[in-house]
Amino acid sequence: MGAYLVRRLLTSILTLWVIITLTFVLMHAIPGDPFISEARVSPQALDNLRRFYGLDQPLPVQYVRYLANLARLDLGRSIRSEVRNINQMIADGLPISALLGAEALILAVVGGVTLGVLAALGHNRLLDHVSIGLAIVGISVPSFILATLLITIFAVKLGILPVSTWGTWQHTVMPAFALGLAPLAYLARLTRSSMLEELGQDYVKAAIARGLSRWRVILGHALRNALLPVVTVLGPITAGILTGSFIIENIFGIPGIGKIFVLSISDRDYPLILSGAVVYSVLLLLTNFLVDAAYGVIDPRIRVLGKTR
Amino acid sequence: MKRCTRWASVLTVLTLIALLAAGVAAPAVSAPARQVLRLNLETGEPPTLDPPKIDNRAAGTIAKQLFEGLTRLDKDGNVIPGVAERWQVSTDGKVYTFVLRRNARWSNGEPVTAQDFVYSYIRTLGSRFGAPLVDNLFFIANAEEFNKGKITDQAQVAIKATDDYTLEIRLHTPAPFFLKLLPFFSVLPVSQKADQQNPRWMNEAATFVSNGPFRLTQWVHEQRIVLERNPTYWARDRVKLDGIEFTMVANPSTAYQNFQAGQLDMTRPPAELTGRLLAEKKAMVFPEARTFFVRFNNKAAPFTNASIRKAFSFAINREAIARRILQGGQIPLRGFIPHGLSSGTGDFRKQASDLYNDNDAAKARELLQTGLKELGLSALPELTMRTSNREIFTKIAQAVQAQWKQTLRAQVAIEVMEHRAFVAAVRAKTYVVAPFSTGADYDDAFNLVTQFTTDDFFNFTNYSNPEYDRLIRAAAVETNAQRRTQFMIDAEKVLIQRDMGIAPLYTNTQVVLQNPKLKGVYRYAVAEDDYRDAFFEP
Repeated sequence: MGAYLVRRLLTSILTLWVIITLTFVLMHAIPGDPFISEARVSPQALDNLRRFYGLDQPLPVQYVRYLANLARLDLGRSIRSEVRNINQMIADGLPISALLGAEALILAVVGGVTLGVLAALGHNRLLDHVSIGLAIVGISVPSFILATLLITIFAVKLGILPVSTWGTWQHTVMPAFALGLAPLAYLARLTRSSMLEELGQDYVKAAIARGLSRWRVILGHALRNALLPVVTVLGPITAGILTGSFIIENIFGIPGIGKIFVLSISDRDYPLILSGAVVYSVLLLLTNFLVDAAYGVIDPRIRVLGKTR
Repeated sequence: MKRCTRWASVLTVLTLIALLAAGVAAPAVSAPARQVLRLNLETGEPPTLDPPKIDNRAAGTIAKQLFEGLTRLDKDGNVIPGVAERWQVSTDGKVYTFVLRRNARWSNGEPVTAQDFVYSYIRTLGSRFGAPLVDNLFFIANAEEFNKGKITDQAQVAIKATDDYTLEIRLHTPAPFFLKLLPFFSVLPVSQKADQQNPRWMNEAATFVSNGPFRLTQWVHEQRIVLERNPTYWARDRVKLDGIEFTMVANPSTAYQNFQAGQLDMTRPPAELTGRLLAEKKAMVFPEARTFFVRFNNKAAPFTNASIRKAFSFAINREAIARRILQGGQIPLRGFIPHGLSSGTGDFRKQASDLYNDNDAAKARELLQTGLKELGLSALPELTMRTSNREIFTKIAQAVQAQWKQTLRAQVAIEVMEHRAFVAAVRAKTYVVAPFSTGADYDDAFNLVTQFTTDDFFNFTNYSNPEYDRLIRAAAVETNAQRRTQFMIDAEKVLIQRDMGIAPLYTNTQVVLQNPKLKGVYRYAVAEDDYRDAFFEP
């Protein structure tokens, strides 16, 4: 177990380093710099600004400097904000994005699995059609259309929810729903088909024949196996919710990290772009690790922990 | 799959209905009991509120409410006293002596002194400070040399406090617009004492010190900024608003929905609704002293030739671009200086009038043939127009491309680039033809005309005409206002009528949706909005 964790940690750090290096090279390969604008900013003022932010140094120096700071967990200073450093921006924004992401993820998993199980149990009956109908809506409507629709109905017409920004639980309802509906629909369809497959298996029939209660068989045996593909896609779904939050945070004016990082690219805010890559990579590496660990718990046949089978 | 398509089409229809319904709904208006103006910052969190560090209009607008310069502008854009109660200008137009009012106070209660202004300007000019719009102070004698490090003794910069309430500024050449420049956000003062005690005073509301009609009381980063009436402001009795609240919604459609739901008092409508809202008189339009134009690289064939440049300019139908394509009330422009910008003796555009007739196909074709002959070409080569991925630029590019094709049979390909990459390409002069815009920082045509002189760093067009250079140099040192205006009018004629160095398109506008009960907002073609006298009608 210990050896596995160490190996996993080392490969993660290596992955992270590759990502940082690629991001560093790519972002400096895009033409333009943070201070280029249509405004009449003189070459002298541009030089002063570049010096002020250390961008007058050769690229290898900037690269090494960034890595050295990163090793001390210092993400540096954003060009976009004179006011807060990047650590502080992330400390302010991450809890907000995390809350929004968690709400959307819980909504997607609980809603999707419930809907999928119900659809499978009521196969080809009304319940199935309703569940799958909902799922199709969720998949076919892009989140930004859904968001606009929600705002129009619930904020402008009915006036029961605030249009945008952040602060109370009411502020989280529409964004979480807009963000969670697509993965919810996807999970519902996935759960339905894998549940249907499991329900047709011999072991289910045998269990029922042995006199076990129907619900015990469904929840204890079939669902457990049916969830395996669901757990597999949790990694990509979390990634989807994380990146989807870029759009949703923009539409709802939510002060999360997604909004900051999207702007950082068009702003050529080099330190912030790198930090975005670091933060999102760490989050995704972590998610993947958790998904792998969850496999072992759900399916004892899979032993990621390195034991011989 | 079939079911899926049906669902999708039902949804599309529903979405469209909802969006249309949103569009026609009347704005819900509710004036709050406290007079609080609710605004939105489209560009999001301002990078800083330290005036000389600001480089954008949104943050500049906040700074303008928080700080007060030596002068202010009245609702018509005329100079009125600010911190300076009165002033004198020497007969050669170079020395300005300001007498500061004794009741001007910082929000911490300290008096605003002449030394604060000296300190602020020297601070801004420091080469390590990194003030983006530092050039606005370069009219002061030795300021530019100090900024470039050629002079290290700050006492040589010609700004000095003769006593606590008298400030003397000496310019290297007369600048009749100097008093109009002083309310601009990049030259607003900061408190010397506050800055020396805590160099990070500007980062949080708790430590923020300002001297304007409002003070900063709350700054929740990435969420909102709250201003309240400043109880120490010398003219606090005329400030009617209790406060101003800024939210930070970057998405224009959401901001529009906020306005519809009565949660904002003012916003800019999303581009796709602008035309309709203007036609229905639900939105207001104001000119902005910004020229949109087509840049010809005067050193890249075939635009080395003036006849070809004229042919391309005359082939453009500016009316159609403004009315049918952009639909934001833009004013077709047949000269370089935008409408609403002063010459120092009046409205420049009115004085200089139109310099050509556009949408003139016959003349354009004739000039094209002349130009081709002069260049020894039988036909136009295929051209590439670089443009920014910002919607306004791609729309302009597509419009002129179609008009050139129709009138001149010109084959112009469009290369869309990410905005900053595009601007970098233009600055590096690696383009043949490109749409661009340029706006004034202060209300004087001189602010814009210098950019086409041969050696100007902002001359990305490679335009060069010694006659133009001579006229601009003459205008720069001329103390007689009438003669100065005439120099600039003559210069514009050389640039546009004689050479067509660029093809001007239109004067830009600001389209605003505003709570009808809100009154007393001062808007300018050049400067940021002023809310000092704003109020809500009951």
